[in-house]
Amino acid sequence: MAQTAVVDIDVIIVGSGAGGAMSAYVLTRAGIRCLMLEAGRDYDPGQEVNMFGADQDAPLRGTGTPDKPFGYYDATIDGGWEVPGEPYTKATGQDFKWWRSRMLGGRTNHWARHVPRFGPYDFKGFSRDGQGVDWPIDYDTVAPFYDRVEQLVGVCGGPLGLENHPDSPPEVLHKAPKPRVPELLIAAAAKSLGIPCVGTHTAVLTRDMPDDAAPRSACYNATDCGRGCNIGAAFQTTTSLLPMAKATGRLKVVTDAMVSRVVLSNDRKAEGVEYVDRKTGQRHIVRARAVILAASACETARLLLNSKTAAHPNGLANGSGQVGRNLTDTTGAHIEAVIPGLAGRPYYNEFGINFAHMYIPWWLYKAQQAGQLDFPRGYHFEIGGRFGTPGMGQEIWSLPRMYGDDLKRAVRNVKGTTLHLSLRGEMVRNDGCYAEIDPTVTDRFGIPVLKFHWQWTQAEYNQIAHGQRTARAIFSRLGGSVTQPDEPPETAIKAGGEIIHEAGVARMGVDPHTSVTDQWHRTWEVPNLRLHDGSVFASNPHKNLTLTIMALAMRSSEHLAAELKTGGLA
Amino acid sequence: MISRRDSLKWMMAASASGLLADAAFAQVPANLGATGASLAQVSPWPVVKLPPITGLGYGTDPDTMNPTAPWPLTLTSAHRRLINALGDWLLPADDVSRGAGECDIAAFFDEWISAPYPDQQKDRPQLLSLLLWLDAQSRLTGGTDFVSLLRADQQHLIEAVLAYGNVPKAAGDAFGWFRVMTIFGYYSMPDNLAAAGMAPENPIIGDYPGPSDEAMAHLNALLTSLQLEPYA
Repeated sequence: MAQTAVVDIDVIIVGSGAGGAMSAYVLTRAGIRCLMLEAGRDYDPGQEVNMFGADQDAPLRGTGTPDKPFGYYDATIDGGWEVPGEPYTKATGQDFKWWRSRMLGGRTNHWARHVPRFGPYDFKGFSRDGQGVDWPIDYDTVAPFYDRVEQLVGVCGGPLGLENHPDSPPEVLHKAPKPRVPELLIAAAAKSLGIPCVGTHTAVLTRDMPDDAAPRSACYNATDCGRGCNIGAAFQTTTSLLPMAKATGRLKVVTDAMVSRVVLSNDRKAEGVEYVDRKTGQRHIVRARAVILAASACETARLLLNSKTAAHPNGLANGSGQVGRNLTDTTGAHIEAVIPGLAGRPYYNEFGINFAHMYIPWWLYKAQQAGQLDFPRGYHFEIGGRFGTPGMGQEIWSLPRMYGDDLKRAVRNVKGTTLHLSLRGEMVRNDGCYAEIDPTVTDRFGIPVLKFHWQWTQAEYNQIAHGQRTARAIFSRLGGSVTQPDEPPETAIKAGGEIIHEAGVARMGVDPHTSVTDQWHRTWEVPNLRLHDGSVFASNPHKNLTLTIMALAMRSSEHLAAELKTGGLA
Repeated sequence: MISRRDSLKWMMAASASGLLADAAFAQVPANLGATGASLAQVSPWPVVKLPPITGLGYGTDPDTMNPTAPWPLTLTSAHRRLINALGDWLLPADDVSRGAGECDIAAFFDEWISAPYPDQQKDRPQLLSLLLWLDAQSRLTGGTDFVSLLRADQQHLIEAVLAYGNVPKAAGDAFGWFRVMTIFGYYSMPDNLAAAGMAPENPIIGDYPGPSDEAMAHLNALLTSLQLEPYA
């Protein structure tokens, strides 16, 4: 029996990651009282991030395990590819990986912080090549919100000057960090092949951002952002948007609150949500004038599908049948090489801001539009490789089988000679990729779980093959040896979900018959229910999606605030 | 992110294909090829049957401010002596850093193969088989276990197993893995990393300065040799 909590609130926000925290920030500053429900535990990077902890001090030298797949110090709590007691299932013979975390701030505590803007083409893919669907909004609509979000979260980077890669106004960005040797080397090889290489836009501060509630300091170029950042340089909502929203006095956060369904007051109005206290198992119902789901794309779809009623027999807001459909992720592949010419290079602080200072953006729009490529959408390469602990890089595996003083000299000589290019590409939605409720499996709270279906198409394989050829050409130009076998794209491609960019499972559109929300993220059938995460994405460009999630959440939250103030949801 | 398991898989495949022959570093002597070390008599590769590891892992929410490995260690003191002896052969003390055995590299291996995780459990029989085989081979040729062999005999055995000189292929493979793990365990100790020329990063307050002049000079020389124009 659910207990009804009496809380004086206007908006319930489910999830504390990029979309949820941005919603809370905007709404509370607009005078709206919010209740945030986070499935995971409370988390304070200021108290829990061991930024300088040595690998030697960590079990297994910090290496990833099933308990902590990205390493012991990784800022993921009670999560990973599997969450104890919270399974998901997959169609027979198909593979999909679903990364989750159970902590305040969600997946913003660990992410790549690569924040490219979507470009004009990205919002109108169907109009351009006839595949997928267009968004109901365009770049010009979102651009002002990109400007404001970049200023708010803090983004460093420089000018791009490239087709479909919009620049930011010059006053918006923090100063770009200087490129490092591996990036300059890759850039030179790319340039010789007619491939651009530009400064990455990264959500890491290179100047201080004073704030009474959430003072943040510039990066000091020395520690792994994946552990979290207790000085607030690397953006995560737990050191920025959430404390800023709390400082208004209008945000109440309840952690360990696993939302199980949306509760309706009538067929077209959300009354609140039901959640399970993860510690006690007690169910609670909380009520508000509007509900925002920002639980991450697939959790949001799961909530809608699990909220079915007599009037919504296929799941809430699912009259179109599109909830759970159109599941996309970013394509991924990894090509790594040892560059002998880098042997013996002088050591310097190559940590920088941790992430790639430069990357290779997609550059073949014209060839693609001219029909010269056998895949419709592009990709980018993230550049990796720097000085690191010997033993983990291919340069060590590649050493002749020596020992003794020779081996010690060799290890010192080859440090920092392994580089890699990580391909990140766009897939177009297809009918074989979707999530549905598994009719037979529930989690430990009794909530039905998702079952994933995943099928790549030839377009993705062709894209990966193109990327493999390109990466090999770059490394070849550097005299390097690619260290992994020349795999076919069918096996080189990462599993669906593995790049952790799930999107599209409740897409926005202009037609209630083919989409789940309107351009303001309001579900067509329940207008006071909004979706503020990647679920609403009409397409999933290769450009990492967190910046766009935040820009769109800001836009929708301002719209909601105006709606609430004018009594639009009365 | 590439897993250690993927790295190993690639490496095996690349080695088999000869792909890495081009990756040899000219300034690094491939000294094992010259030794021609080989064994006259060979002990068979042992098949070990191990009781399962039943300890618990550190869980999905460990205290990262106070790291600890909660599982019990499983190697014997004899195992650890042998591992440290091998460690000092692979990475001996020199004028810049201690030997791997002196650093008790065996403690790293003990924690590793005693961990209740799948990757580590796959490594466990490989390590224990290798240790068993090295002692058996030592008794066969020298009448005693490895740590009690004459140094010349130890050296001959190590060179033979590194060179796949009439040794079971599994022994050569396992020792290759052991060598890489020793390097990883050794250089993940901050003092040894610093001795290798990579001091732990000190924070840089203010703008990141980019590569040093020396690093840029090395890069520019490389670009010139590759006939590449600098990026900018």
